[in-house]
Amino acid sequence: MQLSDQDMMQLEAYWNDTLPVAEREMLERKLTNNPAFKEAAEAWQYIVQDGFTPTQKELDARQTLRQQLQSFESNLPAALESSSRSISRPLILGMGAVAAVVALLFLFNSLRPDLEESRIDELIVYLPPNNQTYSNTWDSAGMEAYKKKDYPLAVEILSQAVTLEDSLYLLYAGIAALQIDQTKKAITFLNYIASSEDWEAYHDHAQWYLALAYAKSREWDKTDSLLHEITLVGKKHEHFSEMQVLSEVMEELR
Amino acid sequence: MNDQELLNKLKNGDEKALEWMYVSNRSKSTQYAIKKFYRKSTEGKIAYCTLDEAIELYHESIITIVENIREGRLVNLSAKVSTYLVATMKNKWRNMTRKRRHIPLDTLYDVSHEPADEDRHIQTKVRKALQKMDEKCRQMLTLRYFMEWEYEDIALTIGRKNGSVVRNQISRCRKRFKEIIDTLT
Repeated sequence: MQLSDQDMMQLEAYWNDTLPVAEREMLERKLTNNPAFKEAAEAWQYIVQDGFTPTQKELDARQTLRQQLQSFESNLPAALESSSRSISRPLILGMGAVAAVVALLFLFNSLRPDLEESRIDELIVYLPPNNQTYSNTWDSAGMEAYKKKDYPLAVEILSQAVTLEDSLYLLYAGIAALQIDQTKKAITFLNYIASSEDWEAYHDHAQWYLALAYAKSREWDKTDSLLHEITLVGKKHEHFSEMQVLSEVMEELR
Repeated sequence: MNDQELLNKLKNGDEKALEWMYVSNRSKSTQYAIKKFYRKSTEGKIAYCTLDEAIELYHESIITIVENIREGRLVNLSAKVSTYLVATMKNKWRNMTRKRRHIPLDTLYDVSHEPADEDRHIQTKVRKALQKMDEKCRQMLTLRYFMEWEYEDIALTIGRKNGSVVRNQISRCRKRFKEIIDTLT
């Protein structure tokens, strides 16, 4: 039996575990009930899964290449290596977490109701950037300013540094803008990251700072909507605990 | 050195060219992985690609690309070497973090057992069949099957409109490939 191309594509998706459940069940029934189809499928599987595996010669060549690459890695210029190995992400995140806890403790101890507004500002804490180096001078200068907490300079540089290829800097530009009360700019930058499919891994941070930006500009509906989204994620959200504080502050302010 | 010169030198096993490629792309590629690649645990927690994982991905991606250049399956590059590197890293990461593929990187790549005779036979047939195909099909099948790229990444790299266009083109190439392989004894 000859497989159609549709069959081959479907079978490959099945073996890669990417076939939707309904199609998977249908295909499994076909494999069980149609021996000729099953035989042709196994022949194609043999070609795809065994035929494209490396030959012994290729495996040996890979081993040699691997050793060469490891020697290049160990001979890398010290500057290149140290810049990428400088501070580990867990350490940075740990420091961030400690800073957040300290900020929260401060907030919980602050019982004076007339300070509600400044409590929003206290929630706007510095977000340590990832352990990353920068490929051009704009990025480097902007992120250096951000790290030194020179927020006006960071906003100025980062909002120009952003390229389509790497727009993550908008997250930090947004946080920097928020720190210096440039709320409109912050909303624009953070909105981009919060809705960008490219930066899904940073959505928690973007949502949280965006909620703060809306709260600062008294856009309660939008703040509520974001806080609701965070609530739906629950404790898995990076800023779940701070979100609860912001909810309380908002109750006082309204 | 432009990319075509680099490709020719890599094909001829030039170690200096390999080192040049390694050093000039290492920082950008690994930083891209650290920033962009992540996995989600069953509880939904995000864990980013670590620097060590990024370096390992970088190594394995160079190995894959150089191997396919040396074996004559990648003759011309449709985009920059750095684009091929990052796309290969991305697809290796995706394959590694797929639900049913939670296996360590080293076991994923180090297939050190001696292939059985019948495996050797099918490997030879596949390579012979590919050599009989035109360059366009050979490149697309190489990216899809040897390098395990997704259709969308192939489209972005070789300049097609989207993954569906590539899927249709690969579909035609696959049909032809199957016909050729069936004629080989």
